[in-house]
Amino acid sequence: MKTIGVNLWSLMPMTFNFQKPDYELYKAVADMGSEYIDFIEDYMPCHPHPDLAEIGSVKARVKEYGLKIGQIWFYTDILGGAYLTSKQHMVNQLQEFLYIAREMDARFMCIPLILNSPGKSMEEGYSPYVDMLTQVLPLAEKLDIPITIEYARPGLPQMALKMAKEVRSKYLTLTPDFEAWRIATEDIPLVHVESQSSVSGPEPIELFYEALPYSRNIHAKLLAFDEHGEEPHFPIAGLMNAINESDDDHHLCIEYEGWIPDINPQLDCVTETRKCVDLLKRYLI
Amino acid sequence: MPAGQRYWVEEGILGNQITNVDTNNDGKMDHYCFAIINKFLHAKHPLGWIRNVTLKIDGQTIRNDKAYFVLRGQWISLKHMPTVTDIWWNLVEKAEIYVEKEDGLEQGRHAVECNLELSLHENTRTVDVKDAWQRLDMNISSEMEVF
Repeated sequence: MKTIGVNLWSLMPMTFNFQKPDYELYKAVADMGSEYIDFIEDYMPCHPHPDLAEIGSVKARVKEYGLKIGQIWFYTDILGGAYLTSKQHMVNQLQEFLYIAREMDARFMCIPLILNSPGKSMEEGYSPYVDMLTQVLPLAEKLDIPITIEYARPGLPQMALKMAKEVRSKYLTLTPDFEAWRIATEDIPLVHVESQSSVSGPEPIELFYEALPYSRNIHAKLLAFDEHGEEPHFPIAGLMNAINESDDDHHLCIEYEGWIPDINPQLDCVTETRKCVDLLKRYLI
Repeated sequence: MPAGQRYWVEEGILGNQITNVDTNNDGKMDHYCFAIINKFLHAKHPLGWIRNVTLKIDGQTIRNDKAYFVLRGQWISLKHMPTVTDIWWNLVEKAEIYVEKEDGLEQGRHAVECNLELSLHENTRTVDVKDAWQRLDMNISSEMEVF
C-alpha cells in the first residue's frame, strides 16, 4: 500500500510569516486530502525532554482533523554528537526519540544519514554509525517503531544501501530523498545550506530502484512547479514509476521546500503544497 | 538539508523598537533592549549553537560581557552564550537582547547590526563546544527607534 503524508516543513511560512497556531497547519494538511501528517522536531515538544501532556494535546488535535502521523524527524547527526559527547550518549538520545515516536503514535522515527565528522571520512564513519544504530534496534523492535535513515546528499545512496543490506532488519529502513536525484537548473542550483557549496548530482535512478525494498518512507521533496503542474527539478516520472512498480509498502512524505528564501518565498505555501499532493496522486497508480 | 544558502527567514527577526529599562527599579534607566525572533529554518537549538554574537549599535561594537541574551527570563551574557547546552530557543520564540547603558539610549533612530555565527553541526541535542564545525555567518540589521 502506498500512502501520502504532508510534512509540516512544507507549511513553515504559516508559522514564520503569519504566526499561525500549529493546529491551523494540521487543518491545512487535512484540507489537502492527505491521510497522514509528518512531523519535524520543531513542531514537537521534545526538548530538553518530551512534554507528555503537550504530546497528548498534539495527538488529540491531529486526530480531531482525521489525520494519522507518519514520520517523526529529528535533526540528528549521531556521529557528530558522539564526537562531542559519547556513543552511549547518542544511543540514549536515539532511544528517547523512539519513545517520543511511540508516544506520538507515529509509524517511523527518521534521522538523517550523516557519515562525516571532524577529521573523519564517510568511510571511517560508517562502522561507528551502524554500531550505534544496531544497539538501538532491540528497543525499536520492542516499541514496533522502525528507524528510517534519510539520505539526500551525494555519495550517500550507496552507503545507505550497504547499511540496509548488511543489517537486514525491518526496524532499520531507508528514506531516500528526491533531493539526491535533483537536477541542477539555472533557477535552482545544486547548493545546500549545510554545505554552502555546489554538489555533484544527480544520483543514478537505479540507486532509487535498488533502495525501494528497504524503504518504507520516502521524502518527496518538491521545489517549484511549471504552468502544467509538473515539477521540472526532479525526474518525477522515473521516481514515481519506480514506486509504482515496487511491491512494497511506501509512505511518501511531501516536503514542499519552494518557500525558502532562495526559491519562491512570495508564493502561498498551502497552494503550492496542495499542488504536491495533486502531483503525487496523479502519478500514483 | 534545505536547498539554497540561507538558513533563516530574515523578515521580522529584528523589530524596529528599542526600549530603555530600569532593571533594578532604582528610578534610573540602566539598560536598553530590543526583540529578536527565532526564524531559523531548522529552528530548535540550544543557545550554544550560536557560537558567537557581534553586536553593533550605530557602528560601535558592544562588549560581549555588557550585552545579554534574555530568553524566558534567563539572562545569558553574549560572552557565555556558546557554553549553553541545555536551554533551547524554540521556533518563532521571541527573546530579547539587553545592553548595559547608564541612563539608557538617547531618543531617536539607531542602527542595530547583529552578526550571529551559527554552527553547522547538525544535532539539536548537542553543541559544538569544541568548535570543530564550520560556521555560517548571519548578518542582520535594522533601524530602530527608542521609545
